[in-house]
Amino acid sequence: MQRAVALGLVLGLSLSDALATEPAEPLDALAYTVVQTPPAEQVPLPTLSRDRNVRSGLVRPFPDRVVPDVFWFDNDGVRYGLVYQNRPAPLVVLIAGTGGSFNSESNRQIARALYAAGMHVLGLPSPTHPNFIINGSESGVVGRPPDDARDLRRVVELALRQITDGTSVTAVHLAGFSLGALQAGWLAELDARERRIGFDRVLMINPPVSLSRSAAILDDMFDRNVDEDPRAVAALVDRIFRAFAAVYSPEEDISLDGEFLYRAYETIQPSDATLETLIGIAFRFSSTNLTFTSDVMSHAGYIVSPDANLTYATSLTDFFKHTIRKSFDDYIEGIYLPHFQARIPGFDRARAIEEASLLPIEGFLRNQARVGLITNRDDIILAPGDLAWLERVFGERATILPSGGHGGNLLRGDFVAAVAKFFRG
Amino acid sequence: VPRLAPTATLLATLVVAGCAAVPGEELGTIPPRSPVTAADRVPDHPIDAYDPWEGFNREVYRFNTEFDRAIFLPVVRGYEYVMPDFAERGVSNFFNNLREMRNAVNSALQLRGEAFGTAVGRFFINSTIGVFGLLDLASEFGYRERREDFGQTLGRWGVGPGPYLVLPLFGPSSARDASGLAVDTAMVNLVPGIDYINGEVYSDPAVYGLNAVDQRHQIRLEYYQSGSPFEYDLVRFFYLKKRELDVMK
Repeated sequence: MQRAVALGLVLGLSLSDALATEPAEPLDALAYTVVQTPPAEQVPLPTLSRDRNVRSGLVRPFPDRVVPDVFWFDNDGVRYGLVYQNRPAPLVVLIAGTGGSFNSESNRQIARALYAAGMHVLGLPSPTHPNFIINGSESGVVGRPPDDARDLRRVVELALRQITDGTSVTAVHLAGFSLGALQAGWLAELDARERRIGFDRVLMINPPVSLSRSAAILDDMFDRNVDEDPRAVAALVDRIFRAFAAVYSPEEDISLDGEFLYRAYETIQPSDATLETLIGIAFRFSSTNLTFTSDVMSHAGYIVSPDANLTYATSLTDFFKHTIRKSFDDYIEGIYLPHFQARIPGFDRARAIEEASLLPIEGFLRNQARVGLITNRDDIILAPGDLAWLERVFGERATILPSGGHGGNLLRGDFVAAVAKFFRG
Repeated sequence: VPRLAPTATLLATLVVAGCAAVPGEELGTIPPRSPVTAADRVPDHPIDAYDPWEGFNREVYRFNTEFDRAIFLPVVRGYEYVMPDFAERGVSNFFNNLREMRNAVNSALQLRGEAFGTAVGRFFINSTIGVFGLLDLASEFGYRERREDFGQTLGRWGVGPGPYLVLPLFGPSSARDASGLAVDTAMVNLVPGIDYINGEVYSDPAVYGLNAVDQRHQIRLEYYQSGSPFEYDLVRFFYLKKRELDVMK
């Protein structure tokens, strides 16, 4: 869905951008983030197919939970994907980035690199994805790293028990992308203390250093480029579809694969403001789903009445209109802070911000020889000073790639090689 | 265990006159801290649609999702597992080729000469040197399929979509497009020549099943792949916009 939104928007928002007459310049960080690894930079990797090497499954950490009827479509458990080798192999648990499902684009791309390196891969949704909030989160309020780590551990343990029935696993590693990388760090720290799973190696891919700083960067891309008034949004959407009509042809089945997206990018060469808008909107969609789902699951009474009984036939259209106007920071202020303030003495905004970061586990990250980092010099979610902090803390265990923005090089040779080297070397 | 919304419920809902959905913000007794307000309900909000049968539609959307997950997709996955890829493509090409008759008739009704020529040309190329449509050689020559159905024909002559409608098994539609679907289906049995070809092809009822499996095989989306609790709204939005474009073209 995010990809469909992105595509529509690349085509549409670019009305103001001149149509390209010259060959595209090398991608900058924003372009990498939107179009992801350009076809010319991709290395050949095995594909994933249900016929051959992928299956999916469900685990229910809270089997007695009665899921509100409004979430009828996703009430049977946390969904995971397993990419399997046909022989005994190490397994990598892979946590998706913000709002990502177990088979999000980034999970699928990283899984191909891991599979090529001879690993099984257990793909998990982000704790911020509705599927996880509904079925895997103990409280329904996600984003607090110590709680996310415990929720994730429960899911990993159950999934491993299911998997090892039919798949021979020689070691268990851990990896995460983006927010999933931050959560992987916390989960590794928890597991090192309490020794339940015993992760061998842990790879953090493009983590934020501070969740609130990175979220602010993305919220800001939305706020600066999309007007607050829904009628302005209406005008924007109309513009998108008029432009879309100019490019779209019914003869062509639009497949939203990377190549089409890149072709659209090459044709249009969108401005930085356009690219920022796309990234901002994709992030806003994620936080809209997160805020609504969390509100209902935790009975927070933020947007939905805490005793409302929403069903599958209830109209959610007006909730959507209201929630799409809420930023990630509104989620923090409206649901997250009240929830934890009621449960943890002395919990306040400053403490929440400090805690939702890598700072509390800095000592662990510094001293663990088996915890590694891959990120990009131009990762857009890093605030000033963050990259230097990561290089300082990880030292020789940090691989800093020259370009790729956020997730725009997951199929590129240098990234794939770095992943293979980390788990094999 | 997969659950299917009982068909009885579905039919009951069909009969119930008032199909409007209750807006969620009217439910519950304790007011939320940040309620939906008039500021959200601006006229012509992009996510709004004329959807007077929303309650019924949401119910059918659920039925379709559960049917897809419990029955349709498992069958299609089995088909994909058993069939070699080239055979799957052959089957798709074969049924897509038959669809050219629908495309041709509707292009003619819309007075779109080029589209009519494309449909007829594709049908003859693919039916002959394309071995009864198993190969899509016309696309190789640069003649891609141009889909035209009776819903588009109605749209071309000024008929608006009318109320949004989710059809059981078929999925998102509108009053106009559902009527169009009925006309297209009737047409292949009424137009001389076309009725003959269809009669031959569908002489065995199993062909209907294969056609259905192939159609699902050609759609790569799954229900709730978006993971969003607002998927109904988003799908409605994208469907109506896409049809608007189909008609404009």
